[in-house]
Amino acid sequence: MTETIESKSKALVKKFFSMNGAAVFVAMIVIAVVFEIILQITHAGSSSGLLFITPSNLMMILRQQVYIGIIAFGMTLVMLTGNIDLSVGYMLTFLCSVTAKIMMSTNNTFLTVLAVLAVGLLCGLFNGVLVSYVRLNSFITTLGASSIYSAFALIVSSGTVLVIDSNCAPSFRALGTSSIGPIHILIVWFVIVAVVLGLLLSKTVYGQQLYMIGANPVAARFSGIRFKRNTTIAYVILGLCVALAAIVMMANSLSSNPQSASGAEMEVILCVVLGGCAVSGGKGSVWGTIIGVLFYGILSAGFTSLHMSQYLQWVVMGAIMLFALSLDVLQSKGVKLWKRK
Amino acid sequence: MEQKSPFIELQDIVKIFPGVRALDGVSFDIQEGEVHALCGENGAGKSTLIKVMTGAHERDGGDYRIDGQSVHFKSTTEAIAAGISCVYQELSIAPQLDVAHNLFIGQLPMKKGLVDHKTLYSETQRVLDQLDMPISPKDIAGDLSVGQQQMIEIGRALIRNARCIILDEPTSSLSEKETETLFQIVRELKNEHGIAIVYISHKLDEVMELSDRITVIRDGQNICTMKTEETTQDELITHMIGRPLENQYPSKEGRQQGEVLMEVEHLTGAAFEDISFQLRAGEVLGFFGLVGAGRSEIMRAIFGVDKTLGGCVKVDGKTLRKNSTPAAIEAGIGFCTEDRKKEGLALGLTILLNATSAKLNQLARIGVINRQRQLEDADKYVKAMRTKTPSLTQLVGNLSGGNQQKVVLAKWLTLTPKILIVDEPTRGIDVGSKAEIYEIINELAQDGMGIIMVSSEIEEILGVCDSVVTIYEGHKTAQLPIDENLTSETVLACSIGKTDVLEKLNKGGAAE
Amino acid sequence: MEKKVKENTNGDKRRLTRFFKDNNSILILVIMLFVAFVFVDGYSNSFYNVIKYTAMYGPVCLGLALVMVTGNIDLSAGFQAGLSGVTLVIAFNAVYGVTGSGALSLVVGVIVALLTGALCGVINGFFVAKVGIPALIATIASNYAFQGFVYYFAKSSFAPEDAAIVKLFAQTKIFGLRWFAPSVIVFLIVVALVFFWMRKTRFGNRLHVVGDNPEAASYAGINVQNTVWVAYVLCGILSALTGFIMVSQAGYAIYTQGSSLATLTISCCVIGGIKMTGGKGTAVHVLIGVLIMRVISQMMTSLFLPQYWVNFITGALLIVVLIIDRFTSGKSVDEL
Repeated sequence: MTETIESKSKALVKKFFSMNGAAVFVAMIVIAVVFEIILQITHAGSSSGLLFITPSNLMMILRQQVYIGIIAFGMTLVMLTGNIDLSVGYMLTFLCSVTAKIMMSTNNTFLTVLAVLAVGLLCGLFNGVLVSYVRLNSFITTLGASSIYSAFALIVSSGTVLVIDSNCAPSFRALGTSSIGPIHILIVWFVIVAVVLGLLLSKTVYGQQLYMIGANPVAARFSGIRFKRNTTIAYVILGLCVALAAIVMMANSLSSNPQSASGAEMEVILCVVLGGCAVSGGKGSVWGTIIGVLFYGILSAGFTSLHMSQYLQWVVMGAIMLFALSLDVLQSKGVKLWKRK
Repeated sequence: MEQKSPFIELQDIVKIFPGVRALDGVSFDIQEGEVHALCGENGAGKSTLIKVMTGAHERDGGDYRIDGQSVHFKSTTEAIAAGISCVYQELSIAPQLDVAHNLFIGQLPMKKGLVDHKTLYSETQRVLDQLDMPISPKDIAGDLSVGQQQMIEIGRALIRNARCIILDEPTSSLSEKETETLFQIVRELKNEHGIAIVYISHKLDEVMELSDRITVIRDGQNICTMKTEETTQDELITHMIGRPLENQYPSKEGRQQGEVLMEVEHLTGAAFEDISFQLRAGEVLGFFGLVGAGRSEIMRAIFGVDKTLGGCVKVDGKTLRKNSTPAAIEAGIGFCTEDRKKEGLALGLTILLNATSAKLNQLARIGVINRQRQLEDADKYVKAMRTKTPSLTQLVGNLSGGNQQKVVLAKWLTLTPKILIVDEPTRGIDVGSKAEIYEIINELAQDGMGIIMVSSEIEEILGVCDSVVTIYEGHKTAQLPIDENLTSETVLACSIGKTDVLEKLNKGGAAE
Repeated sequence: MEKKVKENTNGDKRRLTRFFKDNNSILILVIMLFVAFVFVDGYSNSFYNVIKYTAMYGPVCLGLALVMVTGNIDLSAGFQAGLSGVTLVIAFNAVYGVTGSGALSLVVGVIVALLTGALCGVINGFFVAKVGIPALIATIASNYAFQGFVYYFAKSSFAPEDAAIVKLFAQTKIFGLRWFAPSVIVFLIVVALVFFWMRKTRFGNRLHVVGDNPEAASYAGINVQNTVWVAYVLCGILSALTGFIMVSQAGYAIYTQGSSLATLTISCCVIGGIKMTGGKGTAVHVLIGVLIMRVISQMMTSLFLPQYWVNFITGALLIVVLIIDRFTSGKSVDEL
């Protein structure tokens, strides 16, 4: 009897570790605990109870990661197809400028949201068509598109910081600042996108076909899967995710700086990969990406709580991420250069 | 002759992988200037043995002697230096480099510490002449045919002054003509240069034709070593599978030909022209031709993968929408492709998803998959194909070649197609699994499915099909009913466009 | 016999079309130069800038090209250059503070910069080649670290105490020619060296093999991991050279350029004809690629066009080059 329970729990553990991003999940918890211990030591006696692993702090961390997270969920779809989108950073900058511009001139929430979503859709469509129908290398194509979007951002904003009047339509502000019950609206957006895209990937024909396309595009084609259309749709969904992130971001902060090189694409891709998504496609999940996003958030929040300078934070995060990625690669032994034998 | 001490000698070689004794005391020897064939089913331990020979694996026991000296290779480089080269099944050509750089890969000729391009190209030309290849040393390797690329690999072995060349399934993607050339070269190497050849192939007739001696391996042990002239194919098969194989091919009785399922009319594409034929329910129609004759291209066009230039495909009298794979699938056509790893399966995904990948749309309502039905469907057909797997969530990449092929079949059968195209269904599959695949094809035909089987093995076509269409350089040369009177020579003659045979057939009214 | 002759002429034709396809960047450069000189007023007066900036950005592009030829990518090259520039200034000031000798400080500074670059390359190479993290991801992560270092160090000091001697390298006018600086000579030597290294030495030849078919390379006894690693180290050293020239040109360490440099370098390589998939391209291709980008950039400056036009044209050109490449690659579009 005990044996069966033991073997069952063993099987469960095994199943857990075969899930995407399991190693990162464990690393995340370890790091959170380490932060907690360090904080307890440095704040010895000044307070009782937990300092880092508190519900409010975790909520805070999540809130900071919402924009990156929403984009990362869309990116998961694109990366599942074996492609990548490096343009999301400047696409976000561009769409933020668009949001600000339209909101400033019309003060109409509905119109703004609709227009920004439409522009995001077009951006995604542009990338998607070039990558899937014209069959260009997604890395370089989206790198080029990135430059183009940065140009658009400068054109739309005339190169100045755009600030939406804080007395704008309250419905717009509500998109980024209200809360539902005790939960902040930003987190609601995060959860909605995660659930929708998570179900899309695991339960629908479209989602399962994305896995086929990424794992073997030729076989997918022979199975009658419309890989061009599906890949394009993945880019379009990513474009919509970026648009949503831009709207929520502007509703929350009200100002956009077109000059800022956000570097969001790097952060997004890192989060997705940390969550167990294979760069070559066909492997990954929204669940994994959530873990990747949280891992990133906990790291940066932890260092901030230790009052580490922003710059040193980058250094340490780079190092930790290389370490985490190494662990993941060595564990799965998925990606490997040929050993000379 | 037997007194000559062997050039290479392996004795009681043991190789242990975690959980498996891949080699369990295999002994094997090679004389200079002989072709020694190595036979065995997939997983018998042939590849492991080769890897021990070439230094890719280190042995865990036994002795490995070259010229009577015990050797211990730690890398392929050391084995190459000792004169042992291997031409692998998966070609290792750098497609963007030219022929010369491919030939001298890893060991370019040097002069004063710099690469000597003059020698590089003149030496390459010399080797190309020796191999009788009409290509330039400056041609880009990726532009060459598979056969030519393989010759480059053999050329590599020559340049390294190999004394023993291992050929691992060298003819699996060669045309008949290229195979002939290869055999000629192999004989030349053996007779004129005294090079020892280890020849590994699933094609037993090739083994019988080319080799001097044959060693059979089964379950990591060597069963026997025989002189080729003293054995027969049947005896070989018996040794390989450990029991006599009665008849590989199932009886064709019990098949009933029904109404016409598919009509192909004047189909024309880039690689073929004016192809017309009919397929009836319960019929197994063979397509025979040399590699590169355009057989696979015709199938791809029917299935809507490649663009067609003219003609049409009708299923049940209705013309199919052109160039649309989804339309072909909807009309009830299934296509088991030739290269299962490239075109058939996603090795990194589960059996479940692979087996239902073509059917997802039908398993869903408003885009949401019915998981229960998906599981039932996959389970039913994966079981029906006698696939050996612990569970449906197993990754396809972990299965053996034969079982992978069964998953491909299952994938199409879940759709319950009316027409099934199988392209080289037994390529690279061991003898035991082959018979199972034939049996499955036979059963499907009995159930009234129309089946097109593309193959480059005449025996297989004659054994399984009801009639055969021969393709030569993109044209249909004949359609012959298969009965006792049809010989493999006739089929072969039609497939290489021998006009006299074709005329005779036409006069005799035997064609069509 | 007749067939053989026919095959050979076919082969010649094939090689000819291949030559044009592989070197289409030359055509782009000629067109760009033509447009610039004919349609842009006063372009010839400012052309010296094209050469000076080519020499400045050239080395880092060359380094990235080596990595790309092996089939990998380095997104951190920009900040490797930035970091090397910063360490150069730090070392310079440290030595200058002790000895007061500008020449000695410069030599020490340059050595430190090159070592910094090499170290960055060693780190990248380790994680990509030895551990096996996909190059794209590994260099995004290492980019974070390099960026952090750059900003952290550059906070305190980013100008050498004796700027004049540092500026000599990029700003001396040999024979009074505005474009003829020592940095230009060094860059040309580097291009020639890399070109011949890849063509004439055994190790240099390995890069293409490894990028084209790593499995074939390892069967042939080539140590794939070490070859990739060396490519990364060279990339780091060449990035450091760019870092040095940037400091020399400006008189202080420009440390904010890192992220835009990453995009710029990749654009230069791709437009020059280096393939993302590896196995293709030479040092001369990189030279042409950098020239194209500089010619365009200078054109924008001469026309006093706003920044966004540069961004737009860079991006559009990148995509156009890809599309041209796509439709001249012989294979039919439908082929997968």
